[in-house]
Amino acid sequence: MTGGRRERKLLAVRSSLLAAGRELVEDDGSGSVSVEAIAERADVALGTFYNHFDSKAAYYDELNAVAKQGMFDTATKMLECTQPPHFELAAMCRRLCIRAMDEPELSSYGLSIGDNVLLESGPIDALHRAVIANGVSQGIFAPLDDVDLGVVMYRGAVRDALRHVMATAENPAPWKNVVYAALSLLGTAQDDISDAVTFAANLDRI
Amino acid sequence: MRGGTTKTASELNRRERRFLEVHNSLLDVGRDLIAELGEEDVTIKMVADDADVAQTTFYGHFESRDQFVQAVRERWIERVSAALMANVPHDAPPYIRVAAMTRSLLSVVETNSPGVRYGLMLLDARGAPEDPIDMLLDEMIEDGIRVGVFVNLRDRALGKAMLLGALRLGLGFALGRPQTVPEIGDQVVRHVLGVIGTPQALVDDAIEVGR
Repeated sequence: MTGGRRERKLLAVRSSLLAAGRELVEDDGSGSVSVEAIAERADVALGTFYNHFDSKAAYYDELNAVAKQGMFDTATKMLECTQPPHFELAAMCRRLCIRAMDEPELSSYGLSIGDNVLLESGPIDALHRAVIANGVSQGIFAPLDDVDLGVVMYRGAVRDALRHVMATAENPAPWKNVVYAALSLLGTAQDDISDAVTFAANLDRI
Repeated sequence: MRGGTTKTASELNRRERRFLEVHNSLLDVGRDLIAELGEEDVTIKMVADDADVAQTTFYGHFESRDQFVQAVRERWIERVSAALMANVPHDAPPYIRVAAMTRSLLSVVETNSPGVRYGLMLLDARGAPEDPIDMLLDEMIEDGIRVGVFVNLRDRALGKAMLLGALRLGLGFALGRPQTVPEIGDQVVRHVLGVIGTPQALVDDAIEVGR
């Protein structure tokens, strides 16, 4: 930890403000909570909030940036990057499904950030893009005229699979069915899908 | 809708024509505001301001905000239903119908006509049992399972959810670059049919028929 006691204290307040916002957004679900409510939850004065952030908009920018970085870190950890592309995606699907069951609040917050009709491309897309492009060039996925379109539709399918899993609360999560549909979307051969499911099922580290 | 809706436009008198104009303009403005802000956050004042009428005029057309939001929704659903009725052949095999539905929605996006954004929002909102896309999909998936077309579909409800998720983001992608729709149309159909477990040969078949 760098800095003196005062800097550490400031950092702690800043992160408690960000944590308060995330909790409130999760509870509220509307994606926007008042500054007063955030300050109260973090147990600081309103003035303190504005010492840390110029405006509510600046606060939300940082909140989203932190959440995106968190999703990116999680996604990076979820990818092995040493396995064939269809194995990687199957493992990712299994992890996401299990996470959706175990931490529904966090997952739904992540999903709401991932939503964007205009599809500003995020870090998770970049990871998926690399894996999917790799699979296309190896002939495991069907040839794609537009890899970005494939990535986007794959993401839409997986995102709604997670919503479905959370809504039905089927335990254990039907992740194998998600893998079948997701890999079929990419035109993967049945035998390859079966291999990928077997690989994901035998993973120790989830 | 009040007034002589069964008359053609030329049979209406000036007053009736004006009433209809304002009515449609309120619905258009409301649709665009809802697409931008969501159903919850749109107020009657915003709608009246944007349509350039007094709030009392609004109440001459709609009883409440809820009734208005519902009217916007119904009008869009009617429009999509009509487009799907015209473009999706009833008697074709289910996978051909899924492809035709996808292409029909893509062509709406391609023309970038007013309301497309609203439509995408609605497609994502779900929970609307009268949604024509949802109903049509249920029917097509049911038929497909019965005749054994979607051989690799393991979970019907999950497959439908994933199809809708892929479709919505695919349409959103196309909306960002409508000029590319002729080039990417085949691929959208490929992914949509793939996610519900259609064998490759039938996917190729459906794409061939669509051309």
